[in-house]
Amino acid sequence: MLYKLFILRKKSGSTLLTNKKSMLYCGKQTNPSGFVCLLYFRRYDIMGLLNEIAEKLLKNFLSLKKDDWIEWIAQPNDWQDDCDKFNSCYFIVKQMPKYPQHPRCRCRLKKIAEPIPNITAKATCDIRKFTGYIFSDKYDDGKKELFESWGYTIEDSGYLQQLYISQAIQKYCDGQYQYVGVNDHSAKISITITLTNQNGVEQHINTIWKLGQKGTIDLIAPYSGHNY
Amino acid sequence: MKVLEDVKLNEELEELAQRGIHKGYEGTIAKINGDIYTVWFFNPNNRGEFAFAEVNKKYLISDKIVYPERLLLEMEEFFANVKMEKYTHLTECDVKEYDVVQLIVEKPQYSMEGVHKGAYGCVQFPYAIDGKWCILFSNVGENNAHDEEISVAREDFIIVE
Ligand SMILES: [Zn+2]
Repeated sequence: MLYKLFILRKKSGSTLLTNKKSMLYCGKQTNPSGFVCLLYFRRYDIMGLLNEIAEKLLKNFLSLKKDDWIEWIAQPNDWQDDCDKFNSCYFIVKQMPKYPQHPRCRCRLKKIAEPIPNITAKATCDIRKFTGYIFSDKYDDGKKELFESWGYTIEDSGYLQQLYISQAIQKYCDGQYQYVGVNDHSAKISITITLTNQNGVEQHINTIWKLGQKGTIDLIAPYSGHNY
Repeated sequence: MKVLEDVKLNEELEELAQRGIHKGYEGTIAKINGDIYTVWFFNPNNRGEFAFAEVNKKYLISDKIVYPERLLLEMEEFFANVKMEKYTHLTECDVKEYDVVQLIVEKPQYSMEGVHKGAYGCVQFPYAIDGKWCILFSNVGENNAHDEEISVAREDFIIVE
């Protein structure tokens, strides 16, 4: 099993990639809370399994406040569940994956300063999310028409790209995002992007971002539903 | 170059190309027999897949990656136990990022995410993991109002354009 993990990790550079179960079981993960964490360890305690490492992890975790930020550090060669996908990711405590992820999880949380847009955190967005997807004629899914009804055309792809990047990085750093689970490739968060249409009406669009290492986010889904 | 060192294939070789191993592909030296090196190649387009192939050392260049001791031990153990002759080919991947694809099966792991047979999607990454591609499906889920990205096995979708 370990070499499998190794291959995946090796081929993905510093991003640790593994785990096949995630898509099936962790598409929608619940958010963590001290309570859940406590239950985890209570059970350990009763079973006489509370060891030194667990105790230390728990103590560190419980001293964190919901608005604190952490860097998730996965234990090399000891990944289970989705731990590897969180390695080096920054989370605000109120929107982070369940911790610990599994019994005997040896991942550590390192308290960090709140990320600063474009300094310690960075958003990226491939322009093809607009030119090759939203406004592409290849898709007959109504998204092109929807964006056009708001006054945006393929010509505005560059503008939308910049607007998405600037809003997303600010909201991520303000902790205004939702942790929504993982896929085979990475952890994901959702961020609401506000677009103003030609009549001055605001559209609030749900977007999905891949959470990368060290405060990076990269747009996956440029439109996943909206509210007026 | 020595055993456990990282290498890259620096030429397109007919015999290897037929097995899905192409110029630029990376691997690790598993065995050395004179000038013939047995290399553990990885598929860059399908992470997690590997194949063993014998290559003359003149077609290899060193990648100069230093691995931690623990991984070297792990690889040694792996090479000692793996049946190299079982892994001879890498899959040729015909999928590209931003390809339009259609789901052609109904399976619980997709439907639980609101993605059903016939749904159209867009490929999100230039590579698969264990044969599964990350695909962003349009207008799925509740009221067909969401885009959902899930990992889909290659045999479960067709490329539309
Ligand atoms: Zn862990």
